[in-house]
Amino acid sequence: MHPKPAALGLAASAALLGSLMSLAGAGPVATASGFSGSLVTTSTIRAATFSPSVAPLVTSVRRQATNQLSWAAVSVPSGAAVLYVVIRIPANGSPVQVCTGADTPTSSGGVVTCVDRFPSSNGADLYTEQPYLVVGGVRTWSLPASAPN
Amino acid sequence: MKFQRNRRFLKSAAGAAAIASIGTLSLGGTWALFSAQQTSGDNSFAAGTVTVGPGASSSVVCNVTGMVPGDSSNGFGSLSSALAPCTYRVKYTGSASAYLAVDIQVLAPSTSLPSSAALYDSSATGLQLLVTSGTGVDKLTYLNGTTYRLVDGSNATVAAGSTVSNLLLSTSAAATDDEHEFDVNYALPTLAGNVLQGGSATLKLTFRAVQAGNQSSAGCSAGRQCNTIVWS
Repeated sequence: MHPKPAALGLAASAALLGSLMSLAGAGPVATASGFSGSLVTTSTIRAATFSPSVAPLVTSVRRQATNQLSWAAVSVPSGAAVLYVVIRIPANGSPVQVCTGADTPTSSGGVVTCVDRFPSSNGADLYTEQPYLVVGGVRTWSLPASAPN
Repeated sequence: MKFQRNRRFLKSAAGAAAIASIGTLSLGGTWALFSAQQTSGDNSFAAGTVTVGPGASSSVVCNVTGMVPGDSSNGFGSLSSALAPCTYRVKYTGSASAYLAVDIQVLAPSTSLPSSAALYDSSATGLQLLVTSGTGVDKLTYLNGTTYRLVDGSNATVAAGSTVSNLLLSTSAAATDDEHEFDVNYALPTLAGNVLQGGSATLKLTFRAVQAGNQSSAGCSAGRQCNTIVWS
């Protein structure tokens, strides 16, 4: 927040004019009651957005029996921690959340990485990741999941 | 008082002019024959003024950016309390005693960010605003979350885009150089929805002063809306 000094004024001339108009028989006017003035302040508040605004694609590299996953980190201006839900989408079967527990994604140098230890043997898995914020243990904002890749 | 005297003078002048006009109508061209000119001694008719200006160390613009759910300013009373509130000092600079009030308007989205989402939506999960003045037993609350108080003390919701007028600062008239400090605190609840990402809102406070002479604050209470005083 950066409060900035500025100047704003006001005037009583309209009210005085109103009084004069009433005396001159120009009919009632709203400002005839007397002098008045005002000062205006504005407080503008804006919420954060994720950067980037679209969840980055996941890149998968086969390494022995695991898949090494990586994607560009997502952040918010306030520096709040961004976490990720990573989903494996096999060619056959249901999507499964991966990179959980001890394999939870870690971020370093703008890149997030994690390991899927049990990928499909046919190598046809796709992955998505969904960034989200946690505040006080509550999951709050999130981005739509990335496109499967 | 000086203003009243001035009005009496103006009324007298208007009356004299009216009599002169009647005389012109009835006597026709004789008006010129009876004319005379006399210069009076200096007369001063100083009207009182009702003005409001920034107080000491004032700021009239405050910008907060990058709020996420769970953020709040340190005077809000809950959530993170990690952000600084917006503080304004308002000084009454007029010479005539005056009643002071504040008008509240919440614009969402902010006019400077018209394509952004409306951060304030009058709900419990949108932006919450707390507008107060004074401290301790003198503390007054004008906007509490999303509501203000009507003249009877009941709560009413501040709708985005509409103006809540004439929230009275005090039932006593202000004197020259009286200062009031206003704090604007804010919070974004943890349940704020995804749609509020990048949203914006502007809180506009208009501090009003109007002459206290020939007006009464009877029936009004500080911190509530007061419409019995004629404010403009």
